[in-house]
Parts: sequence; structure tokens; C-alpha cells
Amino acid sequence: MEREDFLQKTLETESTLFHVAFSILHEEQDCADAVQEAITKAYAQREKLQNSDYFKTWLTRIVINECYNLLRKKKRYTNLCEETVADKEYLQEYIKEEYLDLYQAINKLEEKEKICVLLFYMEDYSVAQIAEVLKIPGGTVKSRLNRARKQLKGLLQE
Amino acid sequence: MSKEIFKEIPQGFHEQFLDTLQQLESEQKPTGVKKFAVKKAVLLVAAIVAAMGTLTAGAVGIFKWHEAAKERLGVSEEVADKLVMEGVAKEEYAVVEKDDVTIEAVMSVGTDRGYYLLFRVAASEKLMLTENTSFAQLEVVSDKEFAGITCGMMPDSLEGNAALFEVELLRKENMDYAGEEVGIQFIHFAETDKVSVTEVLVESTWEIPITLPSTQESRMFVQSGVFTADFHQLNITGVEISSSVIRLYGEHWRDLYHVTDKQSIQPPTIRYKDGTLLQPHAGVGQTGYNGDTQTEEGYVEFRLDVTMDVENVEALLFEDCEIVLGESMEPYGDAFENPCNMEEVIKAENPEDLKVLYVYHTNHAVIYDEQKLYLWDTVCNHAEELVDLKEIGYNAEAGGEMLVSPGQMMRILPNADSDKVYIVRLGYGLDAENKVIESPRESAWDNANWVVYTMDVPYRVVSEDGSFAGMRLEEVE
Repeated sequence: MEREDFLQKTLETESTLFHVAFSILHEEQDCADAVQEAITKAYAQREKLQNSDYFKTWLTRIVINECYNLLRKKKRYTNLCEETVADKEYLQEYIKEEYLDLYQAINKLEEKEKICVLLFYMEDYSVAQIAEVLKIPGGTVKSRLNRARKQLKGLLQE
Repeated sequence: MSKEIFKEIPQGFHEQFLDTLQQLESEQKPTGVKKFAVKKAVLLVAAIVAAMGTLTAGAVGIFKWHEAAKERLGVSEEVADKLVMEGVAKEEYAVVEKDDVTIEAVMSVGTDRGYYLLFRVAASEKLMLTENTSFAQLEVVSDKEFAGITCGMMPDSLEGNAALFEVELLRKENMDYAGEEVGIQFIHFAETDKVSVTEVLVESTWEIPITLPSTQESRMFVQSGVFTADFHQLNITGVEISSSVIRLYGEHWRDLYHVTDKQSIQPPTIRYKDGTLLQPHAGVGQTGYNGDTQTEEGYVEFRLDVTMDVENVEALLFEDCEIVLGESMEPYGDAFENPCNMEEVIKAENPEDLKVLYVYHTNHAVIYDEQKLYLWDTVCNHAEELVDLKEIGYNAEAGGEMLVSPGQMMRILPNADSDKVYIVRLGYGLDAENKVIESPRESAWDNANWVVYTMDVPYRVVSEDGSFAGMRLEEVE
């Protein structure tokens, strides 16, 4: 993939990359660092991407991996993140007020289900695209979405 | 639901995003300059780690611990004095006065995670310090990278027109910062809400130089034994001790959980090699737990109110059992009786190509080249092939990673696209059997819940005569 093409396509995915990173890391600066690292890695490996149609899912996957890498490095301090998500005042900086309860409920889901919900409902990814991002079968994506829907219903009724 | 749930992308993120693209456009490697926004009250209490002796007992009286720091770090009088003697806690004297703000360094303390720094901030009559004033940004000027920074005004510390400001620098594993000179830059005095700057009151930068105090890496013992507590028996695989923290590693985290869940284990009495005992005060130590659901590896942690002389600890005496440190350390497999020729096992063309992933028990090393990963007993000159890296598609340039956890369990992610992770479990004792388990990436890597030891180890493999028989580990300065 040519450099200009890479930069243009990356620019187009900015909001998705932030949303995905924020849902995992909850800290703006961590998101910026993880996305920066992911873009740098992706750029170095851009020749390996055979079909540019898969650019967005490919880059999203790298960002998700970087976020988890960062989380692992910060493993001992993750209770900070938990506090952050519970802090509505903090979340209001990033999430629209009317969706705060929903966002907090989504964050109570298991990590693997949370990512599926985020990509499917907020980023308009198809089941096939999510399967490509997470490298899991489409059926698994569907069952995770189904399970997540049930849990969300329960969480929002509490 | 739709993506409208999010507000606009934050400016700070957007700027760094554009910077990254611009640097790639000009073919520069992004610099990754990190800016740490000031947050309030984000410090967590850290355990103290003691180190080399630098002061005499008489000098301790001269040093005054700031009461707020003592309380914040949960340090008893006894530990406080000892930390001063050992050079882990020290008074700071640097002051910078500029643009109606005076910042005074108060003290620095080495913790188990890095460094706790305490400052006093005072404003002139032209400015009013409140619960909502702080600095817009904090940066650390240093040749060495830190794993992270947390900082903020200490809650309830406002007195007159002055308040205390805390900074915690989190160190990277295996990196030594003792004696390192760093500059703590406080940038722009500002009005803030809980998380962000609402108005910059003074545009300026104040820098305070700090020479970081000593810390000491914890010591890890390979251990086999049974730990009994509260009618639960746990198979212990490792013990880690630093001056005020003891961790018992075991393979069955659920059992560990049940034990800690009871909240009934008291910290152990420490027995030194000369037979003397050190008794933490009952009920003051804490137990903690961290475990890995995939590998069932976890630990029980005790944070003590006394400091140990780590080098001279012989045993940990619990109510129901005694753990003698290092007693079970034995060579791997039958290597001791049947030393083998390294050349038969390691086919690398040159020892200089071999890198060290991990060294433990002082004479066991996990080494690798582009082809394979080996376990090497440097005393018995025995080596065993653990993983054929080429066969599993390992490629560091394509995002492959090898990490080690405290219980000497390694995980190998062959490359960024791999859906598999290889977990290497090293046995111990005479019946040692090393296993390589293939696991789904999703559970064993992406969602793993484990403490990471990086492979940044201060050793390399050398062979003066170029032969395998002459191979040895050399410490890197």
C-alpha cells in the first residue's frame, strides 16, 4: 500500500480508532499512545496488507492489540481504570449525557462481548467484519452479541 | 444504538493523531512524546522497597519524614527510620520560585512500583490556591523512560495559600533508576475541574531537579512446597520477597483465592540465616491476590509493616507451615547426572546470535535465536530445546512477542496475526518436565490477566573461544 493511501485511510478511521481504544483503556492519553503505536506498527507492515478493502478491520485489530498490550503493562494499576469508568463526571467529557448509563452498562460486559457490541452497534461493523477484526468465526460474534444484548437488558433494568 | 453515543474526538488525541501521520508523511519515526495530564487524587498507596545502606543510624534523626507522606504510604515509625538509613527515603531541598508560584521539593521515596515524590506548592498573594487549582501538565525530563506517571494535589492538604502535590513515577521492570537525575516540569498553573483544565491562570514552566533514591529489585526463589493455611493446601511454585512485600506464587489460583477470601492469613514471621526472627505486627500486613484464569497461576501477597533484610532471609514461618527459601532449588531433569554436549542440542552457528530471554535461579537461562528457544542450565551445561520458533511462525518484526511471568511461565505470541499462543511451563525438581501448551490467543494473550515480566534482562550469552562449551552468561553494564 502506498504511503499516501495509508495516511488517507488512517485519517478516515480516526474516530473509530478513538472509540475502540477509549472503550478498552478509558484514558485519553493512553488512547493516544496506543493508537500512535498501532499506526506506527501498521505503517511498517503496510506492504503485508494484500487487499486494501480490509484496511479498516486490519488497523482496528492492531489498535485493539496495542490497547491490550498497554493494559497488560499497566496491569497493576487497572483499578484506576475501573474508578474512571464509574465516574460519570469524567465520562461526560467523552460520552453524551443521555448515553452515560448505557455506556457504563456496556463496560460491565465481559471484554470480548464489549468489543463486539462496540464495533457492531457504534461503529457499524458487520458480523463478518468483526469476525475479521477479532479473528473468530462469525457464529461466535453472533452468539456474543446475543449474550451481550441479554445482559445489557438486565443491566439497564437494574 | 449508534456511534452518536460519543462526543467529538478530544483535541489532545486529535493533535497526537495528526502529529503521528505528519511524522510518517515526512518519514520520521513518531517520537512518542508523552504528556501526562494532571489528575486529582489518583495516587495509590505503594509498598516500600528498601535498598543499600547509605546513612548511619545517627543521621536518621536529622531527617524528618513528612507526616502526610508517612500516612499516605502507610509507613510505621520503625520502617520510616530504616528507609532513611537505607537511602530509600530522602529529604529534598530544591526550590523554584517564579511567576508568583513557589514549588519546593519535600521528599522522595523508592516504592515497589517506582518513586513517590512529594512537593509543596505555594502561591503569592496575587494568586489564590484552592481545591480546584493545579498544574495543567506535568512532564518528566529524563534519559530513561517510565512505565507511567500519576500526580495531583494531595486531597485536604490546602493550608493557607499552599498545598502538597504528589507525583508517582512508575518504573519499568528490570530498569535501574537509582541515582538518576530527573527534572520534574510543572507546566502552567491552572484552574481545573476534576479531570481537565478550565482556565490557565499562569503560563509558565517550573522545573525541579530530583536525584532518584535507591530501590532494590525483589528476589525470586524457585520453590516447591505445600503452603497450608486455614485448612487449604496450596502447591507453591515460587516465592518473591522484597523488603516489605512477600508473594507466594502457586498454580491453583482458585485455591489461592479461597484462602485470601477468608482474610484470615497473618503475615509470616521472618527467620534470618543467623536464627533471629523478625515479627510483623499481627493484623497489619495485607493480603492481596492476582491470578491468571488461563494458566491458573497466581499469588498471595503480604505487605508488611516492617522491612526485611532480603539477602539474609532464610525462611518464612506461617501459622501452619514453614517455607524455607530456595531449599528446593535443584537442577533440571537428569542433567545433573548426565551432562550433555551443548552442540548436540543447540545447533546455532554462533553463540553471539543467542539472546537471553530470562535468567533465574542464577544459573538457569532461557535463550533463543531466530530458530529456537532453549532452556540452558549453565552449571550442568545442559540445554533442552523448548520451542521451534520457526515452526510456530515466530517473527518479532511482525509483532511476535515473548513474555515471562514471575512463576517462570512464558507466553509466546508468534506474530500480530496469530490466533494461537504458546505457553511454556518449566518444571522444577528432579522430576522436572517442561511443557509447551498451545492455547487460543483470545484467552491466553488478549484477555490474559497476568503480571508481566519483560524480557529486558541484563545478561547476554558470550563464548570467548567461540565454542558452545565455552558459553557463559555475562552481565551487561
